[in-house]
Amino acid sequence: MGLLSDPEYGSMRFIKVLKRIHSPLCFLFYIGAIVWFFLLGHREFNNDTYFSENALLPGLVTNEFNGEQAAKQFHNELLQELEDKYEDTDEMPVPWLVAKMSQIHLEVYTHNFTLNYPLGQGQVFKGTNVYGILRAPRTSSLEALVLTVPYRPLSSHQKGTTAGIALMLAFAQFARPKKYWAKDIIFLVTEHEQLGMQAWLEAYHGLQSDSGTFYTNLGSFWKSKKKGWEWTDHSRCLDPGTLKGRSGSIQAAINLEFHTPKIKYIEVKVEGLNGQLPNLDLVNLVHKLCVKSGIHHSYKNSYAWVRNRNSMDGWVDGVWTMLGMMSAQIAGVPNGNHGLFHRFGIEAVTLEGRDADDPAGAPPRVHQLTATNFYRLGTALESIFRSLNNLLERFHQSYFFYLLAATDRFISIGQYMPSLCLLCGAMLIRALSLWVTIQKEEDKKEDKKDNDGVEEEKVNEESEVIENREGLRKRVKGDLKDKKRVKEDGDMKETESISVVSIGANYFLAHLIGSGVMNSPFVFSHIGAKYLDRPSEVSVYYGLFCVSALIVVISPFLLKLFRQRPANREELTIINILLLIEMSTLGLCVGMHNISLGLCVCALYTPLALLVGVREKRSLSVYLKQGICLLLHPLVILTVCMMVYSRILFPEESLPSALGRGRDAAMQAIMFSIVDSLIYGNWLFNVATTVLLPVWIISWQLLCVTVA
Amino acid sequence: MALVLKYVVAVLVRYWLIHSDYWQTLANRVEIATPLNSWKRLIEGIYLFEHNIDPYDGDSFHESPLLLISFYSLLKYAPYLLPGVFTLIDILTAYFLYKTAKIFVRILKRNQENNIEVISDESKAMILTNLQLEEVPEYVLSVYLFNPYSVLNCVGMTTTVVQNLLLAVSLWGSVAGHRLVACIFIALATHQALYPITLIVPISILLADVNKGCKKCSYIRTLLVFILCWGFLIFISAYIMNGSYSYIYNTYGFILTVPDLKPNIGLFWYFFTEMFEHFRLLFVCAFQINALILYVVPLTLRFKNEPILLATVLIALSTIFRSYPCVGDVGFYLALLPMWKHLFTFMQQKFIAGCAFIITSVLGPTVWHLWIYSGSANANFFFGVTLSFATAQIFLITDLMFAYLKREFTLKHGSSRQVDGKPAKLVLR
Repeated sequence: MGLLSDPEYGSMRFIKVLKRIHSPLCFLFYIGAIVWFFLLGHREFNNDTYFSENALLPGLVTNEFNGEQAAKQFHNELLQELEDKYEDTDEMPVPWLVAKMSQIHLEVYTHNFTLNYPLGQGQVFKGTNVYGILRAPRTSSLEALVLTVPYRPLSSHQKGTTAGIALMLAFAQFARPKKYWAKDIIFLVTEHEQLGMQAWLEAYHGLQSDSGTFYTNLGSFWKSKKKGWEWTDHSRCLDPGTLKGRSGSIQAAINLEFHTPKIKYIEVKVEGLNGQLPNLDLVNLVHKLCVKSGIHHSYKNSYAWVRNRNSMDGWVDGVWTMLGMMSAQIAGVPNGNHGLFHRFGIEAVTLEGRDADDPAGAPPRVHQLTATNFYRLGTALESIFRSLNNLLERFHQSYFFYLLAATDRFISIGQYMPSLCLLCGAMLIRALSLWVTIQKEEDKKEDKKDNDGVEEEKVNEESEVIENREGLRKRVKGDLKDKKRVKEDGDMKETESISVVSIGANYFLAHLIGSGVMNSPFVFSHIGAKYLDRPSEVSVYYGLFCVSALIVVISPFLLKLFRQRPANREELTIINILLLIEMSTLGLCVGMHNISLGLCVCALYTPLALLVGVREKRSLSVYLKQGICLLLHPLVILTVCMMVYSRILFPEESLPSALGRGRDAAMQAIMFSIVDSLIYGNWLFNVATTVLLPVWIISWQLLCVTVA
Repeated sequence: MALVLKYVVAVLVRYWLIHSDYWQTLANRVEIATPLNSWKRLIEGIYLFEHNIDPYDGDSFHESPLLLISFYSLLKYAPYLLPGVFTLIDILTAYFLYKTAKIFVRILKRNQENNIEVISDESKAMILTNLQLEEVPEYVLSVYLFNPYSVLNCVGMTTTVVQNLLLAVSLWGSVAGHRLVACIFIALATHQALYPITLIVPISILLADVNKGCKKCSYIRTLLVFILCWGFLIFISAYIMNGSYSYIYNTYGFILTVPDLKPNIGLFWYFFTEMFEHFRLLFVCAFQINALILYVVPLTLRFKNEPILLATVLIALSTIFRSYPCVGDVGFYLALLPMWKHLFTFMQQKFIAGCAFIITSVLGPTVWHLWIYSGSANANFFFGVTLSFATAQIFLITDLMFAYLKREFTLKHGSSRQVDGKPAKLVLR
């Protein structure tokens, strides 16, 4: 209770110490965070995976899968069908799939969906999913498992999935007569990759787009006379249609991507929409049952058949695996159809079959591995489904927030959070030290008495003097609701020389610009399509670039709005404090959702937030800092990253063409993130524009402004 | 002019948010709407009432019959007025707080003049000037009008909006010395939410201070008027419900026994989901004593000379510890804090409390989303955040009280805090 009852005691000493050591302390925190993160790759700092959910009982059944021949036959028939009839089109062989599923005696349905492409000139895409439901003999369709395969046409540049479809059908044929299923199994083939999956899931869960307004909420009390309240168009770009047949709540889903039965190893993909991950128990289950069925499996840089004798090698591999996972998570784009299930609270993973010459790169000793066949894949699938069949309740044990350092090692949220907290803590410490300085500065002007107790009185006295001088000048204009920021601290009012309104207005404007940028792509795409005849990605990219350039020029002048005199030191310091607090809040919140993005944003922007400060005169270091700030503009970061990435990916290309390729990749990336945010609800673009960009704008303002 | 502009902007912000697409989301947030005050349940109750079903039979409606009947007539005859009504109530609240602060400033000035001889020479500079005090009401007004907590509360159209108005009017009535107004409105507030009953203590002290004369008589008169009003309201409510008192089980009973454990920003739900059933009564009593009466006596003894500070602290504490708190309550007592602007320089933890307020206010909805919509986090995450929110509020309030003591001490004894030549330590007791 000492903290509560006597906050005064000894605080002066603390303030002195804080002022002296805060910059090395922040630096230490930053380094500590990075070191902590890399240590997590080491065996000593992460844990072995284990089963938390007892009900899974993995691998306790005798495998009975006998559909090898059937699978081969399905595979051949499908290939034949595709070559005969679907060579030139991208369409899915719906009749063939429906016929086969009906022959197996599944309840077969098709599902149509439509996409009104949100950008560009209103293209419309249509697609069809086929799914069959195996009704569980033991229960009344209250729960379900999903086995899904994306359909890829022969002309697709990605690996095909024909073997996956064949395996799914063979497994359905095998599972159909079995008496032990306690959950329905839905066998689903989706078209247009993630689009079909998203449409199916939305239709399955009956998502509706109308958000009720106040008046619709009144029900029978409100007799609507006019319908003038709908200001914005509610129709969404993806129309999921309706499903004719449904089952119960989906407990888990497995997505298969096998182009041929003779794969060398299976890559287990987990990263979902917005970096969400499936329950660790499911991931663990899949890895364990692959081992049991004699299939080689991998995760990123970690290959189950490679054993590191040397602990140093293990550490390096662990770190690379973590980094690989993070790079997949950062964009928040699912790297397989499983990722869309997570948003609906369904645990799902993708099993991707890989050959020795896979585009993802050749792992060590891959040629010595024996290739798999339908029998082994089938037994693995059977074990997984029979294990899931045992589930008594939803996956809820184990971890939802983790990083994987190997196929069998993980880092839990409690272990990686300190890293993020150290980064945010560095910013908060800086904010605290700035806060202490503005408290103290007023003190300095007075003659000093070396008595601790005098301090408050002095502050008070001083504020009075300033008040008399400036009280008249300061006018609360009363506009701009953003004054509310101040109340949260409840404290900014104490020195009257601070104009609350202009600080609030500046903050509000910065965020307004951010949300304006968020909504701008429609305008750019429209202009680009109508007047310049450019594809949307080009017009959006250059549009954003122009806006950014404009912001760079204009934003320093925003500080001069709503005030008669230039901003003084205290005001800028308060802006700086708010900036630091907002940045650390952003880091924590994003890190809760998507640790990779949170860490990445914090690691990049913490140095910027720490470098920013109130300057008296321009010096070389300020120009240096401005340069760093410009480099850290979200758009610039993206472009530079893409350029470096394409340079690494295609080292043989000449520099200009690699840069051009990087720029094109950046265009694509922006376009994808916008479209993803509209169709799937990926919030990366929204967060980047509405929070990160305003933070950047304010840092830039602070770097550009000097005080007298 | 500036005042009118503030009102206009506040109205526009509220009106726009009510008519935006976010309304539904906001009105259903657990932080804003609790089982006690949510608009959805009010509508439900009114619907049942209209169809001659006793809304208190079921488990969905817990508002007082008075509110039921007034909103029933509003909904029945003028539903299009409702957004306007809620906005108006909120604006009126702000107005009454403004008036309260104005009178409070006058009282503060008078007290200062009365006590001028006890102030030590060293601390003469700390005497508050007119200029300093004149801005206080404006701050109170703008904090209430633009505080995101109170804005969201109004937009969510919770009955806490009404509750805030009742509290504001009773505070105004007591500083202005209108005994009847103060008592009627505090009785109304108590009738609606029970917890404001603690405020009768600072209000009777205030009334006794403002209306000169026999203090004991004043206390007794205030108490009597309050009890009469409250009893009358209880009776009237029963009359509305056709003479049946069963509504009490579903209003006061609901507040006291906490049967609905829907998560909110308070501390009850988590403990009672974890609790063994046969210890429930014990812990309900412990928690309610903590929220209702534990702090009244000690704080009254200590702050009997500053009844408004006492009222602020009691409102804040009951907000933190009550069974179904919402951000509207938080917004209300935050608006009272600027009255103590002269104490802010003595506060030590405002930075920590401010940071904690911002971070938890953002983190709370985040982990709620992860828990409910993504299904990946769980109740512990959300409770952790609400617990730190409550801790931040406690820090703020304790800090305020301590700042008051420090200022009082410094005024009396000068700034050198020494006893017999040694540095002394102040303790909140």
